[in-house]
Amino acid sequence: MAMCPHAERLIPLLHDGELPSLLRREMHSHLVSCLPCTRALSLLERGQELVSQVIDEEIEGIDFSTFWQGIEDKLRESRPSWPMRFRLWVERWHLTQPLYAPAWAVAAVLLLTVGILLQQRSTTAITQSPTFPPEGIATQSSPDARSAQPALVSEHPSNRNDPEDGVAFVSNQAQIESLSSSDTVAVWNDPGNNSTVIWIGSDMSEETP
Amino acid sequence: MVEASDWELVRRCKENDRDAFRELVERYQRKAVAIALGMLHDREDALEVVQEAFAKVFTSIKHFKEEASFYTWLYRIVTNLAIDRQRRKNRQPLLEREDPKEGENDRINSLPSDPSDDPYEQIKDKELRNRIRAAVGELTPAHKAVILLREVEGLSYEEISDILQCSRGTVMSRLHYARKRLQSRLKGEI
Repeated sequence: MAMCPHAERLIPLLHDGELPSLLRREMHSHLVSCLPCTRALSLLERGQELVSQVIDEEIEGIDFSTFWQGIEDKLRESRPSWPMRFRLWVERWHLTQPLYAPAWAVAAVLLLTVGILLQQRSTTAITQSPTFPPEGIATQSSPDARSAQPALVSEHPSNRNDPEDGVAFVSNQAQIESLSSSDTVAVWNDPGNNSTVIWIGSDMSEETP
Repeated sequence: MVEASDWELVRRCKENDRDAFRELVERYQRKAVAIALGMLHDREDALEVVQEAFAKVFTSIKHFKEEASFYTWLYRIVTNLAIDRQRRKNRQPLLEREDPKEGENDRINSLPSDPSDDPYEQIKDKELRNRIRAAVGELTPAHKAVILLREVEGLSYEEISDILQCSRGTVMSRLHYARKRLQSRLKGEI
């Protein structure tokens, strides 16, 4: 049978309703006189009819009465997302109920107290006497002196505590009220951070190399 | 009573309305199962895939942007799940698979009885159905999907390209190829 160029290209589009209206009208008039195109169209129609018929008949035989139940089962089976699972966990343990509010409050107060205590403890540890004087200290020793204590700390305001050095910069306005001749005085000046530590003690000789 | 639109039902589903979701399920269950059945050729598998698809729809409906239509979104999930299921089945060792002849007989027997009383006509009709089923079954999943969405669901090229996430040209070429294959397999019948 002689082939028509439209049969391959335009007939499927016509069959699928994808041709613009003008071209569709032209194709319908063309079909009246073109046997290959008519045959191509009827092949497509018959193919569609058979495929959809087979599927439709199979669908007719399916009982959908338990279909919804199956979806609900699937929904129960499906694992929820992490935020949803956390919410479910909270709900399961009734942690959102008012009954547990006092327990949460007590736990929060305990945490806060422990936090404050730990903070205070670490501050005390820092302000306790460190092994002084650090490197670079200039000392003036006296023979009967036994221990050394920091007496005056002068510091840069932005550098109040320096745990690495073990020095607590408590004030930059301390005054030396008296200084006996037996006292040992050490002066440590750090030009890098503009700090000066004056160390006054009874005897530095045992502690400084 | 006026039927609620898909948009309205989707909006209600987003508010966790199970009744609205059930209405959507009842509206599309047959069409969705038709696609899955055409792709998988197994009733149980098809039902399970569509139930899974609906469950996915419900759990992710909050993320559904109402730019596309609901059914194209649903069909996309169904076709993807059906393709995955088929691939998994194809990877199974032959021994684990159902005996095709046995399964085929079950399906044939489960079809509704033919209205024609002529036994010869009934056998001929069953034979034709089997040939059509086998011809569709021989297509690749992508070709199967395109032919089912077009011939059974009657969707436009645009909708099919949206569902299968491919261009309109790809839809046309797949459809052309699938039809040619079917025509050559069903020579004498069509």
